[in-house]
Amino acid sequence: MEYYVAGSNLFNQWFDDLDFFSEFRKMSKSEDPNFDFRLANLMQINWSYNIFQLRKNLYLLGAFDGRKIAKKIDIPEECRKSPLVAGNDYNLVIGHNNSSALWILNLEDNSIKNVYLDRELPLELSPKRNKTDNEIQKLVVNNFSCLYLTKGKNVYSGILPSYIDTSHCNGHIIDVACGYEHYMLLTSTGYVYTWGDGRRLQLGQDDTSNLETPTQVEALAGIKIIKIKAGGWHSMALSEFGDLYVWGLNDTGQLGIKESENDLKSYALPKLVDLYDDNEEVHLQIKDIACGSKHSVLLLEDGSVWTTGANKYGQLACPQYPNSKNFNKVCVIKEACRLKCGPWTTVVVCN
Amino acid sequence: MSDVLDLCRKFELFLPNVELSLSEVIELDGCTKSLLNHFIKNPNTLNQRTLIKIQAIIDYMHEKINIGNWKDVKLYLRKTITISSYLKLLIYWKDPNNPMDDLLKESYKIIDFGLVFGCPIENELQLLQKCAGLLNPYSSDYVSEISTNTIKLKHNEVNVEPNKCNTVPVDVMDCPSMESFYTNRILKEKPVVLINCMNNWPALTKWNDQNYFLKMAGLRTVAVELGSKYTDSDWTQKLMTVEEFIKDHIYQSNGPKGYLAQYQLFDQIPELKADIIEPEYCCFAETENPIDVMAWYGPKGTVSPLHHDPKKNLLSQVVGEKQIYLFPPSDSKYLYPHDHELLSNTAKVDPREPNYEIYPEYRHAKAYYCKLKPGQMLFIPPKWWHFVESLSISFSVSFWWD
Repeated sequence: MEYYVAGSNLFNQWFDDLDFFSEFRKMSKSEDPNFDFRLANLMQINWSYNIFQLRKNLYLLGAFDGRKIAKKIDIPEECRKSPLVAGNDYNLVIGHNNSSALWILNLEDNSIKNVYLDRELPLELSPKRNKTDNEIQKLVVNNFSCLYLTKGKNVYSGILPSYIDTSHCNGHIIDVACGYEHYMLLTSTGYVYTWGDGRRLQLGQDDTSNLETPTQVEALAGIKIIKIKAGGWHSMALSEFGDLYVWGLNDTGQLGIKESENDLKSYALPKLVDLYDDNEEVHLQIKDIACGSKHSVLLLEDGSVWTTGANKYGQLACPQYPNSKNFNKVCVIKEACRLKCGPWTTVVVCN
Repeated sequence: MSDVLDLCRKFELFLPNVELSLSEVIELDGCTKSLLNHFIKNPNTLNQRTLIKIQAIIDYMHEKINIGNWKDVKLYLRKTITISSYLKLLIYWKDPNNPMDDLLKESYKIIDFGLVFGCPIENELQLLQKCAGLLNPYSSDYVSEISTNTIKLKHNEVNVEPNKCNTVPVDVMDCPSMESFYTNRILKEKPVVLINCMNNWPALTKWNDQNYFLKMAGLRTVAVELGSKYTDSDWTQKLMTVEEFIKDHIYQSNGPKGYLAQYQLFDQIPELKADIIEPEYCCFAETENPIDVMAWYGPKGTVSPLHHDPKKNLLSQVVGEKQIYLFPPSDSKYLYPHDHELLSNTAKVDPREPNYEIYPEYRHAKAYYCKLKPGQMLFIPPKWWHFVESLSISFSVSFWWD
């Protein structure tokens, strides 16, 4: 695994003295002789630390307690086969593929709490839930929200998980995403559902209302979506044909829409994004998408990486812009296979 | 140079109290908490190299306070902004190479950001205001004054005699007793113009010279409303310094009209609060809520469209004149309130030139009218509709209480 990193290094989470990288920097060995980036699997990028998995251990790199650390955490025996992990400023949540159990590790006092998805709620509260199959498939966590998706296609939210009714959704749920105060679901049939806070138009439902339950983004009806991502207050969806739709807050240009570069208008409905390289429209397929709190990143089939939005901490990998108001091609990394963002960080992952 | 070091030492005197306030932000994540703790206990580590970490804390907290409703934002997040803004200020003053004018401008920006997004810490309630106060003796050297000629020209602009047809003059009372005001006005919910009730306000003389504001607050950042009225679609708000506001909007009016409206100027700049006196009539309150004291400062022709507020209001005119139309709450059905929830306390009718074709019911409304002069106050009972227009450069102070 190779990692190209741009953006925040404020807490030395990438083992370097620079506070941030304004251009992509290839990570290789670290100062810690036991830790080689190339062998480790990057699980999540947070504000003050990164989570890697290396063999049977998790490594937290950075400074969740303010000091420079490379903290090793043993993965609970039960989760070693295929651990799932996500964290925020306070907790680390560990789960694994074949169980409904979650280990919640408090980063301040190192206490561990066990939570079971199917034991926390009286069943009569959620009659439609698939009771037999609550093995966790994916978990996403930030400071304000968390979502768990199970193999039985059930969705739960909250540190003490509560069941989300998705029985009205078309197809079964295959992916989940959370912004700072909104949530997204993607189904096997390519439908996108959003709920949560809509004041910054992040739900894509054409208004600023809040929604209690997952509601279909009707403007995307008829378009099969295969990937979803949530930024702080914006959202992205990628179609099966490689078209990108964005909506929500655009105050730092995080939507990357060329027409609105002068007024930085926010969008209440999904908007198709066109890419331009030196004013020439680009028609390549988009391979992967990712967003930080106020920036967005694309990886195209030719290995080119495109960024837009906030650049205060170098997260656009392009030192000449303060912020960028539309997507710009910043480099080509031929062997790039996927993207991963932290709040103020962009990482290109190569196998 | 010695001024810079001297001021820096004075700022550092707040450090012990700021350190005590760390107990108020105990809910912070471990990383931010230990960083703050480290910097406060080791102020010698505050330098250009660590500035970016302080800035990152401010930026991260700023993201967090934008989550959820503003009134529900956790205080520890806003207190962290106050503390980090103070530390950022220290870093600027610790560098002896910074020139004084850059330092002052940057410092007021840091302080005003901290005042807007932060909130007071218990152990040093007026931390950032006090820091600003220490800077004030130096700042007037860096703001240029407006010539007296320009001031005279502007202040003597002729007022158009307003259209008062079909209106009833608002009652006038000459410094009524507390009982009389309470029984006849508050209890009966009737508006009144009060005269001779603010004769001892220092503001009446001091604020006539707009250069006074330049001296006191020229480098401070304020939020100014741009556009002729808040119901217009091109209405917006912009942050600018008081100097920019006075020079570009009070004494020049090429662009959109600028209005420093409903602004908590006196919390931001406590020195100006010394020029005004809270009217005793505000003591007739039904709740313990603090009185909201707001500044309304603008050129001739600023308009607050016909609207009503939930609280009692004493609108106190300090500089220039304003005309006000008032309607009792019972007239709401004749005034055509906006349909949208956010604007439902605002009416569509313009009482200066009502359009009877579009708003035929308006002919049944009974308008009260007054022209408020410097030194006069208008009592607006809760829910009474009011339309306000400045007839000259104007500065008013409103006291809202319930």
